[in-house]
Amino acid sequence: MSENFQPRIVGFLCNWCSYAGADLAGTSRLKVPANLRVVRVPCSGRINPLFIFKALEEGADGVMVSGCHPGDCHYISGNRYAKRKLAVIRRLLDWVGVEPERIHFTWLSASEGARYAVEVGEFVDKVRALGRRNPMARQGVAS
Amino acid sequence: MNQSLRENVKRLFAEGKVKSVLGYREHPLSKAVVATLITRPEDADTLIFDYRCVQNLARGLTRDLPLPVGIVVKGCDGRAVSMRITEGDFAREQIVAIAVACPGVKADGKTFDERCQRCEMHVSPLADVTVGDVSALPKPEKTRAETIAKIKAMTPAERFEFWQKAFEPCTHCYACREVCPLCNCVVCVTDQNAPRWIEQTAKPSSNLMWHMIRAFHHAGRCVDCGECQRACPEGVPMHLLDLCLAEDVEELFDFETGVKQGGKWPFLLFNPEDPDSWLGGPHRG
Repeated sequence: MSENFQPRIVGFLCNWCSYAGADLAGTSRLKVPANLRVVRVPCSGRINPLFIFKALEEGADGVMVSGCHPGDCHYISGNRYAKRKLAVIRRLLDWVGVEPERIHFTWLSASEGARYAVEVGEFVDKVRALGRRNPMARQGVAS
Repeated sequence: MNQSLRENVKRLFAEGKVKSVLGYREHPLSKAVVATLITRPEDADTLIFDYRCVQNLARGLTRDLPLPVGIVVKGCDGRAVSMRITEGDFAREQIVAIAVACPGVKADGKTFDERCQRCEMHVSPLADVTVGDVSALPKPEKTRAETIAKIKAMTPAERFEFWQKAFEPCTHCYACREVCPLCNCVVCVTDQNAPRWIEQTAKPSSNLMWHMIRAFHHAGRCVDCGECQRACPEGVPMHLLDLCLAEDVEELFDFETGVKQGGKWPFLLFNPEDPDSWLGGPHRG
């Protein structure tokens, strides 16, 4: 059964780098697991901790967050602010007892389509190993 | 203490340094200690300070008070006022901090509160006037690290279980928010309904969501006054989660809330040297 388990992962990708990287993976005909549901955000700095918490509450098995490499931000430094927030979000999730492995942060540029495919694949495998049902998932939500 | 406090307040009025003063007084009928705002020097005789002054008056600072406003502050309250100045709610010269030497408060009237037992800041770091003997204040009996050590020692599953139990009595009355000196969002995230981020019904998932976002909003802002926990009618230990994050923020950003004047909330800054290891695992690519 667990081999058939297809985790549902919400990905928050920045419009300028990671989303374009995902697009490149697609146009390059690379195989990317369909477990990742992408939400496009204008910048990784736009990510509110609520996005991540809400995704987990609504039953996502994992959350992936990706932005431009530090120094490459379209808005100059949005991703550097994001890094500080994400560092604390990660620790907060750890404090409340959500496995930090369910959250994956990565910097991805628009030219890294191949790496995108690899990163997603690895993360999906990791979440699959953790198993169904993140502890935060709201009661009654399908898993 | 009371005499010296009153004299100081009268002097501030006489010198024209304040137009109003936020302080504590004893209610004439109930004998309970309540917050009071005085605008006339003769009212200074109602002011008191003793172990019953549990409230954090920084909550009462609003811009429609007659400014400059004097405020009677304990150590933790002073940090909160300092943080509000840091955040730009007030200019430094609009506030006159009347720091009292606070040995700790007793919400139950008998023993020092838990928050006071580990207090390292009995006198406000923000002080224009200091009242009382600052040399004879107690040393902390325990530390924050000891307080959160038991959570650190748990496995993720145990931790989750612990918080589920801890938050279970929460009725979403938001007393913790109302009493917090730094909960000053114009519209609280839990009151927003398009989209509805946090359900206001009491159930495991929304309890957790509320207390998590509450803690996150206080990361690097919480001054450890512990008012949230005192105000909670159900005794939910939500302040414990704030303490956990406070430790992280100090470690990550080397920032101690409201202790030094100036500076910025660490989330409004960045350092190009911030390591990627914060995000878990080495940076690849």
